[in-house]
Amino acid sequence: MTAVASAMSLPRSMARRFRLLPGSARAGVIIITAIVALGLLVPILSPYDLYEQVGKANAAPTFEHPFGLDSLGRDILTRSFGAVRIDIVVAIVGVMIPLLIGTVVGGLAGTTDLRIVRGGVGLLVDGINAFPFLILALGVIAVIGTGAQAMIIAIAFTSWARYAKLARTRAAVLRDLDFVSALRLLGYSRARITVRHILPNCFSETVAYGVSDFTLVILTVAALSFLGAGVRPPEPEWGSMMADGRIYLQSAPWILVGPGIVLTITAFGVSLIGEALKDRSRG
Amino acid sequence: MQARRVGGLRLPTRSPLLRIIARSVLVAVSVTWVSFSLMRLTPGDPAILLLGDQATDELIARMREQLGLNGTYLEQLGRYLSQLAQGDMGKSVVFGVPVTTLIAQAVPVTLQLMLVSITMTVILAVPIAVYVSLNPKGRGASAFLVLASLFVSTPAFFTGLLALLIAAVWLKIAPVAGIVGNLPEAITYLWLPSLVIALALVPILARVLIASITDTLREEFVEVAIVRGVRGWTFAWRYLIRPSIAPTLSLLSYIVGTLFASAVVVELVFNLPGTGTLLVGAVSGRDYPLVQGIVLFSGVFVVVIGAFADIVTVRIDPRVGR
Amino acid sequence: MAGNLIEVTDLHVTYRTASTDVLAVRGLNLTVGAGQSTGIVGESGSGKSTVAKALVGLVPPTSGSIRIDGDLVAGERAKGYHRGSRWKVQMIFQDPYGSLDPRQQPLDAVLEAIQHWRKLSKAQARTEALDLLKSVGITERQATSGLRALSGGQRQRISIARALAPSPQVLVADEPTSSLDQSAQAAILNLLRRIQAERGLSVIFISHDLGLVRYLTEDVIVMKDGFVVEQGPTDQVLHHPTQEYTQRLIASALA
Ligand SMILES: Nc1ncnc2c1ncn2[C@@H]1O[C@H](COP(=O)(O)OP(=O)(O)OP(=O)(O)O)[C@@H](O)[C@H]1O
Ligand SMILES: [Mg+2]
Repeated sequence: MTAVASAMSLPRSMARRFRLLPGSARAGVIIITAIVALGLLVPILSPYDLYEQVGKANAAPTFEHPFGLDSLGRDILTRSFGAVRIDIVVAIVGVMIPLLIGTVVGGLAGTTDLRIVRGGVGLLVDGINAFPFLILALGVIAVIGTGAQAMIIAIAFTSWARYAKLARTRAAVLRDLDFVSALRLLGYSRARITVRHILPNCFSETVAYGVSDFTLVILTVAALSFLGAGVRPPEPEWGSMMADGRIYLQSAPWILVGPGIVLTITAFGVSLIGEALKDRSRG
Repeated sequence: MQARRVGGLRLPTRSPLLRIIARSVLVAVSVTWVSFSLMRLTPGDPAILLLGDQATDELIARMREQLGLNGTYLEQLGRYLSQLAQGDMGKSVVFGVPVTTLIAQAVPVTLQLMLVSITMTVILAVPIAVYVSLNPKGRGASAFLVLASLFVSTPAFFTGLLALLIAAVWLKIAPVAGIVGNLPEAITYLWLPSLVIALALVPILARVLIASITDTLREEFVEVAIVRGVRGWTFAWRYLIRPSIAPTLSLLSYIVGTLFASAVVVELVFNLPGTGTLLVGAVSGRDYPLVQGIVLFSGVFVVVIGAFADIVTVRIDPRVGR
Repeated sequence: MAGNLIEVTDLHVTYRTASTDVLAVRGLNLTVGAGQSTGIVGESGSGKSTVAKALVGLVPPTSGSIRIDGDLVAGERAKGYHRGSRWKVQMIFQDPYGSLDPRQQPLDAVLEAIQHWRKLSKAQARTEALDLLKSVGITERQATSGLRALSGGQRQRISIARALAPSPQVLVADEPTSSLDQSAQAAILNLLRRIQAERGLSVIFISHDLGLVRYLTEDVIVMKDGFVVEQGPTDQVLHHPTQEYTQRLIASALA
């Protein structure tokens, strides 16, 4: 297969996969594609700047400003879609880093013969998983400070243990399967069997979970920013925009409605996909 | 099943009760260690962060002592544990009073909020689950699936603010914020925030109930019972509700964790002086001992609830513990 | 007796568990010449799989010794299998669904084994892997698709191809057909017999069905509770069993 041919077949295989998805997941894919496209396009096409005042503060929705203006007179529609970039990027990184760490740590802990390592990692994992997600994340942020990076660290610190638990269970099942014995008989080293055979199988489990975890992470990112512990203003971010709206709840409720709706639709789209993938990996 | 192992350790006892307790104690130890380590995650010195780099050495040394950061790692850990054992979580940097006092003031609000929320969740989820499992092909069932995904994806602070706007500002059927007194009078203040939390929890609980009821309905003995004419409440209790208790209990610590986390934002939105509001204030004020105390409390609380759920499960169905 | 491919002397295997010690194998002697094959039969739990695992080095013997092609691979002062001997003995397992890495394409599984043992160019190794898979009845299309679509029989063929990749001298087959349907069972047995003849391979064939054992082996060992109760040429054991236990096994195989 030449490079050109395989590049040509990529969109085709994606289209095939898309058709094979259940209806709700297809709706999810469409929603997310639309949100991401709008997130990229709106800030470019919009006549209004993301950071500059364009009208009277707290102005109600009009034809020119369908979502209204915020307390600094900025266009809420532009900012609501401008927030897609930072929120989705933080959420993607916030899912991928703990997924990677958790799967490797859990996979290794599930494979090792060292009782102490297995028990120690297991205890640490159960300990971290006991905390309510948002509370431990807030605790980490209290110590390391706010901002997008700090938020990713806090989420990773809290999330990796859930992936580790899944990977550890999976690895413990895999290591007793006959194929591992067969590979040992072929003379493969332990390291090779773990890295090339056990960990990839752990990843297929954790990645499926990661997609459904994505919803939780998106909501957590927004919640942390809403609480003033996440992305700092003036960066457009759903949670912090809604924190602004909270202050003017009575006089200018539109400030929080715009970003709230875009955030909810995004999380909804992701959860439709996540549910479908979780069902499939189960059945 | 879950009780048999802690991490990779096999507990050398056959009694399910002892095993659950031993496991929970070990996890609680782990939870304590995580909270202890939290403050040591900083790249810098928390004392300097708090006081600014203009502070005198003497002041910094005093602050380090107050934060328990003087001495070696093991000395710090030992001191932390022995103080904890005496019910001492240190002193709040901002308020200057013991952390335990602050938590003790805030906990009743949070607990009452959680209690009302969980009651509402059960009251809403059970009929929905029964209806959907008895009519799995109907419109109600597909509406439930979509609405469940939607409500799970709506952040609690959005629902909370909208609820506040509609019920308190426009309809004036709820107080704008705050709380006066305790349950049962306080229900006037608690029903709206609890409803907000329940909306996110109902789909989670209902899904589990639907799965377990559907499983039970597939069993042959249920058909036999229907043919024999068992109806009404006896039927509902024996074939719908009782078999669902164990799967629900296994979800309890997850629900309580979620509840605790939603309480943080909902308390803030509704101005309730609970642990969530306390925590958010402590985070922005860099009140390390207070943050640490609340984090530890939340973790231990979930572990205790989990142990309670496991024990009840074993009592109901002794096979589970084996 | 120099020149024996397999020499097992007084093999004992004990599993230590938390509650008890299980004496899984209690004294087994076996010699197999190059190209010869032996069957092991016995009821469930009699210790057949344990013998197989000890032979290939997956389970350490408690006492006794195992020599492969003159190399001491298990027993006192044995160093175990090493690169010079590891390729000589391979094994096929009972459960076709657990014998393959769920994420690996059949072609890659065989390719990996070939490249582990021989320095070949990528294209050459691929051709060899495809040839090997073809010789066990797996087409290129089946070899380059996911595992999901493959039946138990097809999976077992892939396991055989992978085991043959290092060109072993001994193939231990632990009930390779017991979870397959009748026709797949016959096909796998024929395949094993063909490979045995073509490659001059020694097969240690384990089954609880004496009828199948006769089809592939010259000698047979009958096991019960870890003991060897009868041992000798397959035809002789089959036609003139001395033990009542063996007679019962024959009767149940015929039924
Ligand atoms: N890993 C193990 N730990 C403890 N005991 C074991 C282990 N593996 C096997 N045994 C025990 O050793 C005995 C022999 O088992 P083995 O698997 O060798 O029997 P088998 O003849 O292969 O049986 P089957 O026909 O069911 O496969 C059995 O009593 C079994 O319970
Ligand atoms: Mg066996």
